[in-house]
Amino acid sequence: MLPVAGLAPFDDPAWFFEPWWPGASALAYVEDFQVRLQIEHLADPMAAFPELSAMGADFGNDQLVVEGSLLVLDDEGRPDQDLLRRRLSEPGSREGSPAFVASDLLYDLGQPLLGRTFEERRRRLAAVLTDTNRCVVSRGFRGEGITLGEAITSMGLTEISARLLSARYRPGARDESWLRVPVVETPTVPTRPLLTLLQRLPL
Amino acid sequence: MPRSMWRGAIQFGLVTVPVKLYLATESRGGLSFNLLHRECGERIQMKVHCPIHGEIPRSDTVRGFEYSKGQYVLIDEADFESVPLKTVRSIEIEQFVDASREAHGANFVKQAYYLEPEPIGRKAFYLLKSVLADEGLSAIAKIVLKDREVLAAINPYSRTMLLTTLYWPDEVRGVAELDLPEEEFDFKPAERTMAQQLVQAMKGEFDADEYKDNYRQALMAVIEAKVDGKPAELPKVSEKPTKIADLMSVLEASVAAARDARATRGAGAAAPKAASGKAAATKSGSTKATATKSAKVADIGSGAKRAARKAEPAASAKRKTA
Repeated sequence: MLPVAGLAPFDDPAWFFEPWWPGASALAYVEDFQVRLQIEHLADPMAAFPELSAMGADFGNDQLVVEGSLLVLDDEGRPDQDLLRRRLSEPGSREGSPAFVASDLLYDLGQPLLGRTFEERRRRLAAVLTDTNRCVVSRGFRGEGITLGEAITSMGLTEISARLLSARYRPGARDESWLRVPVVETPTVPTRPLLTLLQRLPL
Repeated sequence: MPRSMWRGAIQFGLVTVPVKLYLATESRGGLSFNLLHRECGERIQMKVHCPIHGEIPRSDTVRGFEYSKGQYVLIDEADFESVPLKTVRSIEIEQFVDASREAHGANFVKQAYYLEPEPIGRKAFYLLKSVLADEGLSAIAKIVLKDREVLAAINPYSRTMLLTTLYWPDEVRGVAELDLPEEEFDFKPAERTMAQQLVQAMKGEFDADEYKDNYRQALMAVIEAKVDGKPAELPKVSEKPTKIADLMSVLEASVAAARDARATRGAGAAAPKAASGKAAATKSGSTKATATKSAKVADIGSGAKRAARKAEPAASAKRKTA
């Protein structure tokens, strides 16, 4: 499933908001507690992330397909796109520490969850995955898109992901129940005395 | 005391005023960098290269002027010396023009120089200055600088006079190439008054000290930090988690802070509207993250401000997308 570009953060209790983590969208296949990763059309990149090879142990169930973001954190724990790119393009690069942030659960115990609502899939995901230092469930907030947008700008992030809680999963499709929303920073208002005058000028 | 770069005399009519010229400005706009080889850090060399003979010494080069495409005429030192040029060290004032008029082309300045009168010519120098100041005039003069004749304007400045070299008229481009409107605009009296008020409100004395080259300062800070061995400070990230789990904690803390900030703002704004429906909906929170926070959703600012900031109020996904 692919997101549609959104306009601006909004508040709506029917929606679930989480940061758009700056990494690579990935699917993790957990089988016999062995994990295989898939990043858009790429062969299993697990060789570049040996730190994650044992992350199958973090899941409580087997036969899973988990959707999430593959991140590489810099020394200060910030997601770093350049480090991720270097990992993927230069064999042997071991800079930064990789992590997987799970956001959706598509198969559980070999059974497809695609027909279930996002709300239910998320609940199952939280039950299946225990947070560790390499693998976590993404933190999300129901109905509070604007608050989340304000919060992530202080972390240096620029986008949020908005998902309709009642939506089913549509593999491969671009769907309007999933929005990728840019957080536009409100420009600081210059303290000119006659700003209102300026705005009324026929310029 | 800086060194004068030129010494000569202002000439007008029968009066001669001996003066010295000093550069009035120094160029420090761009920091300059050297190109190094990435591997070893050695300075790279710019070799003189001929496509036919490969590398050649610089002494084997001559100057050519391309008079038509691919056709060159060679110019050597003797040719430069044969150019008839006045070598008289004088600033010859050709005429005086109204300093406030824009039409005489004195807007296009190259370089400013301070004039310093020699002791013997001080009185005449200040006489000229006071006449220019009183009449609101600029002196247009020709001066030979670095073997080249240039056009210059002389204007009173502070306790001396400023000589600014100008572009020759044929070096100044016309405005005909620009896309400028043909029609004249009519301004309503109210519009004009409003613009005048705005200009009046922002009017002040120009003090160049208030303006700084911020880019240069920021770049200099980066360079100094690198020289000291410190990594340059990255803006915008207040917290420094080290593990992915810490990153999630930072996120939760930031959201809590943003909630508080909005609640405070919301309380100061309009009266909160009933939010019972929203609170009920959030009770069925899905993950543990939302479950702990859901009770607070109803409390946060639900005033007019919040409604106004919502991009599109509708519940349908369609209207929220681009």
